[in-house]
Amino acid sequence: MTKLGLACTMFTPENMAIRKAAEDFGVELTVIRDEQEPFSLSGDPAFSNLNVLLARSSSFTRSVYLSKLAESAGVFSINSSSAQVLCGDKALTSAFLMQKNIPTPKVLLAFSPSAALQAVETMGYPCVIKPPVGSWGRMVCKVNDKSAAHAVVSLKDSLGHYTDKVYYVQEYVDKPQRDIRVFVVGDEVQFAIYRKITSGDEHAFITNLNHGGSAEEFKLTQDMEELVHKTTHALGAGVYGIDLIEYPDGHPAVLEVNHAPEFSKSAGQKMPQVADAIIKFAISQAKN
Amino acid sequence: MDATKIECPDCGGHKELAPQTEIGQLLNCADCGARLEVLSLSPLNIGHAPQIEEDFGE
Repeated sequence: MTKLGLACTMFTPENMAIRKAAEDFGVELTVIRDEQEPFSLSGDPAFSNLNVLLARSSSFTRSVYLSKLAESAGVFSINSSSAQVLCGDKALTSAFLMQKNIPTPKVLLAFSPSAALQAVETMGYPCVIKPPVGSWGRMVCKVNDKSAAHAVVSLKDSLGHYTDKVYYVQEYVDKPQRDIRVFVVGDEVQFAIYRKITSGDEHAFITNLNHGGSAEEFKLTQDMEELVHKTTHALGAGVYGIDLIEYPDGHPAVLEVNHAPEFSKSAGQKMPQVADAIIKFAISQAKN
Repeated sequence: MDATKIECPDCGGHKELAPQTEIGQLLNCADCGARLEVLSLSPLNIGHAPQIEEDFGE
């Protein structure tokens, strides 16, 4: 019998749907709230009774730690701690995708304001500066010119967190006012959506649904499907939100991979099916 | 459920809970926007939802 753990910070709509799906499939589910108890670094009882953990903490850091502890206890973690480490850090994701010859926008990494300004000049205008760790489009800046570059770099330099001193400078892709989110469970695409900019602001470029982007389901092209499978295969089967971006000539590239993807806004009516697919995948991994 | 009305711990605003409310469910106070969580149903107990941190996301 599958003994499943759900590590989470709170019961987001996705986690509620997963809990419901586990009930429907008769899976014994233990919820591990990451803020509510301390964890032992070896043999923590939270994991000793499990064979699979769904790592869905809202926090990247906590999710990696809990997965690692679960894996140390012989529990299969979805996703694996190593996949999460790669996906949760944009610089590591980009480096990994490049190493695997998976098309992805060009990136330069810099560790000081002067190196960051050099990176921006090398990349050319416009370009995009992102924090290496973070989500929901926070602190993602399109840099149109030298004065904007100086403003963003000096602002980041004044902030206190060590990741603010890492400058991830990415090529700007002139996409068609949308990007693509592909939700994968195991190796199977559950759905693909266009995330469209709907603000009517011609300068807007963030498509994240938390920024008011709209979701529209569509069928992946063969090129895109191949890209998604290549990415999933490289990371190891799991639950991923793979973001694709289209270049002006139409060819797709992987922008980033989300290790604990949300789906309440993107899946629409398919939300219960996606939760079912996650539980079925967890059951299949428990048997392996 | 013992009660169906909750009081926001921040502003004191009142909200009627839906009958199918579950433990852990997240709520937004309609008056002040505070993010709340259902901690228990019997007795009904509402607290603040975990604060959003820098590394929160997908």
